[in-house]
Amino acid sequence: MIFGKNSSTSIGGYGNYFYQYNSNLNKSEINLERTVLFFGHKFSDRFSFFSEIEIEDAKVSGGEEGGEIAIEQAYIKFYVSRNTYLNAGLFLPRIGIINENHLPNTYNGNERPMLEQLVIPSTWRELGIGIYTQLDALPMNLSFAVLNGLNSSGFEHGTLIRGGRYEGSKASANNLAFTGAVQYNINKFSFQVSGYAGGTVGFSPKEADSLNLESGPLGTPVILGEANVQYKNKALTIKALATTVSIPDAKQINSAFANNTPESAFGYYVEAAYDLIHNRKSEKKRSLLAFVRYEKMNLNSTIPTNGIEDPTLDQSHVIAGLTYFPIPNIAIKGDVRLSHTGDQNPSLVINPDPTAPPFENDIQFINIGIGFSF
Amino acid sequence: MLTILESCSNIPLYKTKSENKIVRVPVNAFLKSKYLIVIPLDVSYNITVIKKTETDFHSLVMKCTHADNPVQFIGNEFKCSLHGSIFDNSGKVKTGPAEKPLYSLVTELINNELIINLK
Repeated sequence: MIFGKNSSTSIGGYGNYFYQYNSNLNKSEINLERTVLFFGHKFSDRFSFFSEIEIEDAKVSGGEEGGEIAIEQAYIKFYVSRNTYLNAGLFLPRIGIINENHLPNTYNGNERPMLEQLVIPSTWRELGIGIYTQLDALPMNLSFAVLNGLNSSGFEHGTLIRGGRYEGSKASANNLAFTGAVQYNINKFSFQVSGYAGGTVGFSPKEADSLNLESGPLGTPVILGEANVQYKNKALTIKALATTVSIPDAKQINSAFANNTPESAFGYYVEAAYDLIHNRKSEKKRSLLAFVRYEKMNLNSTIPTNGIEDPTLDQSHVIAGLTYFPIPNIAIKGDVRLSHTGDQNPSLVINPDPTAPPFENDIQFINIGIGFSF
Repeated sequence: MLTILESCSNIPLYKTKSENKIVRVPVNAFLKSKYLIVIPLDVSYNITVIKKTETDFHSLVMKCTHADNPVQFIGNEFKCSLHGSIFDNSGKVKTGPAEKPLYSLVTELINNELIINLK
């Protein structure tokens, strides 16, 4: 054995909590959004185990809304060779930036980018097997994974495919998904292209036929494509990401489940951040990032003939703020999110809450919080 | 087996094998760059050797100290693709979750040959 102990168990974790003021509701909230513990064990140079256990919103009480306890990852990692390994179990495929790198000290703003919550439903984990390789001769990483697919009966209006994730819990294995990513790093740039294609009907062929849905490994598919580029030069960091989602059989999904599934969605964001204390020689570990991010997305850019358009899902967000790192593992964050949406469609307003405030196209959020990882 | 390759990022690669937990690298492998990525084929991780002066060399194991994932040397810093840790070119943590610097290895220049001690 070289470079460390042959066998060991490690513990880590991350978490974040923040205060949020919502101008539309004229209301504030403070929440311990996530507390996550990592447990890993290295059996040998080749075999190791890695897991994350997450508690959302601090507690889960019987019958109350909110809160979640979930296994976010639990997989065996097997090194086939020095630069190639397999993950087998519940893991986060390489799609977008946040899904794999979601620790709160790796992104700006108290909230994860809206696009990587709503269009790419991070953190998106499923059961399967993946191969990851890093080339020696080129600064390139490749990954490919076969996973269980999605459940289109779980799709919900407004959250695209998020509700269709099984997240390792009694997932249908009748339908499958294939996902892959290519990362290329050169000098100050890092490029990534990733894709996902998976079936969304896990029923038996007989059940699927009765609902007029196509079953099988890639039946009634969801296809997602994503590309991003990151640039870092001394104090300046720029990130840009774009993604599209296609659900060609959305009409059949709506007929079966009446969940107003769109045929396509898209989104992109651009973020620039600058470390204001980068040039101070005394600041070896501390950094103070000023950042601004613009996000644009439409979660129902095309809808099937039996769908109902919702202009509120055509959104843009401007997020600006500061992230202060007293040490690299702790991020103190303050930001403002200015959100703009299209108008409400009266056809979608059923039994309105009489106490709800009037609809507004523009809402401001003020967020102050702390994130950490270890 | 000894091989010198050129990586796309213009950092030369040097393939070799260790002997008695020692990796030997000829100093002329640094003719083109002050950085060299050494690939000891019988060892789990690559090593980046940085030439600080004509006689002073610093060797860092390309293994993230957070979850043991191999790191890559990109744009003068080490990046881990697994959880996003970043280390500067001396191995110090710039971005967590890693907390410990990259492992460094005792490296000596003896008779125009670098001796990297893996112990």
